[in-house]
Amino acid sequence: MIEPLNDPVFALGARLLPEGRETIFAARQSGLHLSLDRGATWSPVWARGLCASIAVSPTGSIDGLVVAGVVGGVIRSEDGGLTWRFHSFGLPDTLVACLSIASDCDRSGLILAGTIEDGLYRSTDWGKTWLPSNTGVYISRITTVHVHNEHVCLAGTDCGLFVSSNNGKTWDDQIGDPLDVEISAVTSDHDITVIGTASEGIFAWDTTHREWRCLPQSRPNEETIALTIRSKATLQKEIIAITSTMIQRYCLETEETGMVVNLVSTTPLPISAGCAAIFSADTVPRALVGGENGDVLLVPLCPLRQAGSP
Amino acid sequence: MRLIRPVYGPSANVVLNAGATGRSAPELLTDGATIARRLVEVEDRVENVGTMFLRGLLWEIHDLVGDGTSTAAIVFAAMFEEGRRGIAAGLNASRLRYFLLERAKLLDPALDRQRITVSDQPTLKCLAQSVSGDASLAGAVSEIHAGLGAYGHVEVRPGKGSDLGYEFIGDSFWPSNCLDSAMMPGVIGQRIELSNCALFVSDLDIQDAQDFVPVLAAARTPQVTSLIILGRSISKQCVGLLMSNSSPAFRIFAMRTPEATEFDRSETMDDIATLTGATVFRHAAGASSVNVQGADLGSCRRAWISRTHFGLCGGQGKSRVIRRRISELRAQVQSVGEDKQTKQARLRLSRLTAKSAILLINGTTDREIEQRKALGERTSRVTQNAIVNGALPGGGAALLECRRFVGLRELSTDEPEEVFALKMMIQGLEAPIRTLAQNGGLEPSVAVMKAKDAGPGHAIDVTTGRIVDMSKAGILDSFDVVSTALQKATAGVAQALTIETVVLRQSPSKATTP
Repeated sequence: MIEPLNDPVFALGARLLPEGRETIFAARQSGLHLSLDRGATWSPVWARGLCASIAVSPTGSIDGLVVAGVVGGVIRSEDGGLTWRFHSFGLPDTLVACLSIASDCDRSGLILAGTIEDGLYRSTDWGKTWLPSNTGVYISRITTVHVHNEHVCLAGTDCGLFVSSNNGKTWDDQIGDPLDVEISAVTSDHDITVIGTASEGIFAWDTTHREWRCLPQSRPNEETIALTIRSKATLQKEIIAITSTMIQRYCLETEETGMVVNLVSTTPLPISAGCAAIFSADTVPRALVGGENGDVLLVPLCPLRQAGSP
Repeated sequence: MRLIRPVYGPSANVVLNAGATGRSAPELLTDGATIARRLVEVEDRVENVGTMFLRGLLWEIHDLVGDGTSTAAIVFAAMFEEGRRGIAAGLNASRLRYFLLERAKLLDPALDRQRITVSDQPTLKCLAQSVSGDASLAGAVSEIHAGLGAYGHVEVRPGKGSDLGYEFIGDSFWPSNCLDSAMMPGVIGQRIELSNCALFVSDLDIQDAQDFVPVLAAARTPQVTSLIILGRSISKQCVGLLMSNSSPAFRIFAMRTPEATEFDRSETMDDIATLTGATVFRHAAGASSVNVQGADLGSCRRAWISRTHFGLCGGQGKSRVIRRRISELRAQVQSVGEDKQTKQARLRLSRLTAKSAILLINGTTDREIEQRKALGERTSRVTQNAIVNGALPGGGAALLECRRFVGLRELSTDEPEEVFALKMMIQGLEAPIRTLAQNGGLEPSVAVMKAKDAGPGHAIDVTTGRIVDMSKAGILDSFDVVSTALQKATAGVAQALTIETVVLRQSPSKATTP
């Protein structure tokens, strides 16, 4: 754990390098910072104002692509964070609050950006040029985006979820309880979609009963700041959710009668977290957690154990 | 019928219209409604009355659903011919009419059993191709509607290049124009982009400049760089006030409140107010701009105006209020039938949800572009209709299957008019597949027999000459179009058979224009 910088962290990302090293990126109030020593020291790479979001190309995808959201557009690096270039959205005061790079970005070039007041923007050339993509999106404050695969995209807003099935060209809203709330995190894996809310807990879409189901013991009044889904076995998946005070891990099984979800473990966080990023593809999954006073914590996600056991 | 029958189906011929005058360019006609519309008069005056009757019926169908006129004409002709024979044989026309209308009620449930839900792009493309016969147009229309869903709005416009194209519009926009042309300099087609815009939403007659000073004062905040005023009309005095207060750093425009009728205008103002968080100032409520506060103005991140429209994006209205309004409008659209009110509600929904697209039509001559534009509009309308109401197996298969349900009723009655009415219906239901086969150079009776033997949903694919499952082969018709065509044709026949006397004018004027 590093010394707090008193520089709030809004987003975190990491890029694995050869020989097991990694670069950690922190989007902060003062700009974009980079650490090469697992958060021990930081150096600013972009200090021209607030940086609010970060996305790193998925492992195995286009190498070295890092995109960060700033005021007026994004900054983009093609060399793993060494050099950066600003790409404007055409609006000088727009703030990019969330970003998602498609898992097949090396082929599709698809990156989605959500803004505080101007809805969604979309790039199909790896972030070089951007166009608004708001057909069907009538709520302009975007809180989270996720590109599931080359066709399906999800966008959370301060009042509900929007889904696109054509690479983000057009969007449909998902109406009704419990979705008329602020969506703070969203993720999906094949036919499973999980959303985290700012104040109503965590929900998963049950495709058998066609309804949203609240995950057991998911915490209302605590904002969900990161979500991921890992495959464990056939018809069995793990959901990892990070809220402002803890990490919750669920086991999800798909049965003929529907979806069965059980809480497996709850781990309290040593800091009050404002943002987090989960790296679930690694052999030992890890999480980066950013505190409100600027500190960054690296948390290994240990093998699952039952809730309540030592 | 001699003109409409040949254009039915994919193997169809076209009808060449020489033009109203010697100097008009001839046009190629391929759909029943346009052919009927171009037909202004036939020589025999009694026959002319019948032709105009059918013409009116077909145009009514075209107005309602945009397609199915040829099907309706063919069904009408088959049933009417059979009906005439029955009346000539001594059957009572009124009884026949009664039983026709009663038994027509069996058709919709029979069609409903065969209804297919369509929403994916490949299926929509098949349906669009059945309507238009144009693969590239079908591709563009299907991609648009697969993206927009049931409640999007598509505008078809002539394109500039030679390629067919389309564009999704992520803004909410309305037809409108600047209240004074002096406020809108520039060339036609130019669009003025605005950012951080305040909106005054009203349908007031803006006459007294002094009354409008509070609006300007309320809008003048550091965050606001433009102001749009919606009103019914504006005096020259007010134009002067607005233009003198307008500058490159703070631009002001006065636009006409959208919509022509009082009701539609009121609803549209409510929609704009919901999206932007504005208060509506209604002329009918005696509202005045004198006491306007900052909180009464709406706001949006971006707006644009042109000579024919204005639009906005990033409205700052409360998200939950917007969601609630959209939910209410969706419920209204789903619960009411396909009338003018529903169509207006659907248009409002497309604007509220910012779901619109423009289809750009290509062509080498003005006439060609005009025809392709009409084809594009028809295809788009039918495709959207199919998303809302579903599709049916095409090629006459759905109608042939209805014959089975009508036939069941035949067994349980011995009234001669009722039996004959059912026979008329069977003739009508078989007529489309017969006509398709005939136009494709195949034997009609053989086509009907083979389709019947193959089972429900099967008919002849006239391009290959084989009996196929129409749904699997991607040959589909819109449910709404088939149902409307069938019902209207049956009702038309029922009415036509009871016409006893035709009254003609002694010296009618010659019709020249359609």
